[in-house]
Amino acid sequence: MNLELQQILTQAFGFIILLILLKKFAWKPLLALLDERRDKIASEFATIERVKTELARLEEDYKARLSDIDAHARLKIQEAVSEGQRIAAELQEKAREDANKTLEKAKANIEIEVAKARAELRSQMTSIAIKAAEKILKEDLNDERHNRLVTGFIENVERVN
Amino acid sequence: MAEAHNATPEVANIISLLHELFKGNSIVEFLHHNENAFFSGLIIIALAIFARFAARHRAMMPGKWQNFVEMVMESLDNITHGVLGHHGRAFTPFIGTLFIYIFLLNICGIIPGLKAPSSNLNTTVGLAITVFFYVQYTGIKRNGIGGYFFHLLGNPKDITGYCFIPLMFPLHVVEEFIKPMSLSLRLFGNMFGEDALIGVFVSLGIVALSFIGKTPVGIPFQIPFMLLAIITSVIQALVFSMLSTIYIMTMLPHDEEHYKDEVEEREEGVASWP
Repeated sequence: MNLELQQILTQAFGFIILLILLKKFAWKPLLALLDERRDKIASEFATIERVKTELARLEEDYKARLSDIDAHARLKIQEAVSEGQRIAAELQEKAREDANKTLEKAKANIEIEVAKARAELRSQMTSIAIKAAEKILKEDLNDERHNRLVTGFIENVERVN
Repeated sequence: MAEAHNATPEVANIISLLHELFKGNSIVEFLHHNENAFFSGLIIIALAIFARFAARHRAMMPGKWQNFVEMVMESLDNITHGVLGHHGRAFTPFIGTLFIYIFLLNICGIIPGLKAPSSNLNTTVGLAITVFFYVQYTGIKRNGIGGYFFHLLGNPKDITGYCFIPLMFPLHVVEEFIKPMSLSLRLFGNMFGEDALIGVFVSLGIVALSFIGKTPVGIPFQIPFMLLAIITSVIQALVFSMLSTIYIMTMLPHDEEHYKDEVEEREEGVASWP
């Protein structure tokens, strides 16, 4: 096997041409693509980490807010219950006062009515007594008749009462 | 079967068949004389077309072909980066192309109709000379002409180092010339031996059936050696390209501070050891 300069140079030249072609068409663009992809993945991982941290912070924030809202709601409920109790007590008191007033008024009305009735009774009794006296004076009285008139008068008085 | 000039059995290829059929034809004679260059040219064209195709259809979300190409390229980039550290990326195209090209030169030996051009000394010497010049160019570019010669003088640091210059300089110069020789002879020897082995076993397969007369095929005794040749092709391509990487590394400036940083990086697991 002889060494031939022409063949050696042809092989070297062929390899150099291949190197130039591959460097231009394959190595540079594809290595750049690999780097770009590596950078992109790294940046996306960084973004994911950042978002995760932000989410954790937001979660803590929401938990704190929920806790505040809960406490606030409990306070509001307690206030509402107290207010309700106060209003109920007021209404009860007012109802009691109204009832007392109504009772007092009814009693007063009853007394007035009783007084009115008594006055009317007295007036009727007077009128009956006058009528009875008139009848006695106009008619001839005997014992029997006298008794009947008095009994009738008494019955009238009892009926009126 | 075709017989090489030194009677080493060689599996027939397209060119040798044409030579048998059209003996005396000037074109066939020319092709036969330059068959290694012819097969190397075929590989160069195929690789260039494939590279153009792969680069043109590249996408951020790779398909299976792009995945395969990227896997090969990234592995070679990692190997180069592993040996040369932060200098690695600049040499990936050279080392990567060298590996792929030599692998394809080697593997052609087991493809019917083709021949492994790397089983010819002219091919391996051509590649080794390219590596030699590339290494020297890198040394001059990275160290400057003064730094390059200082490296050849053995990087003397004290009076002892300067005393050894007359010994170190010729030693380094001879070493630089021996490097491409060892590269070319190693690759040639392995691939030639492998091709010869396959050729011998193809002959043996034909001879084994000769008792029944002239047969179109023989017993394929060469198959185990063809499988072995796949491994050898990868290993030899890797050895050639790795040694070239190491030759480049020896030419790079030895920045001790940077070396310390790199060692720390590797110990922390940021970078991997070669």
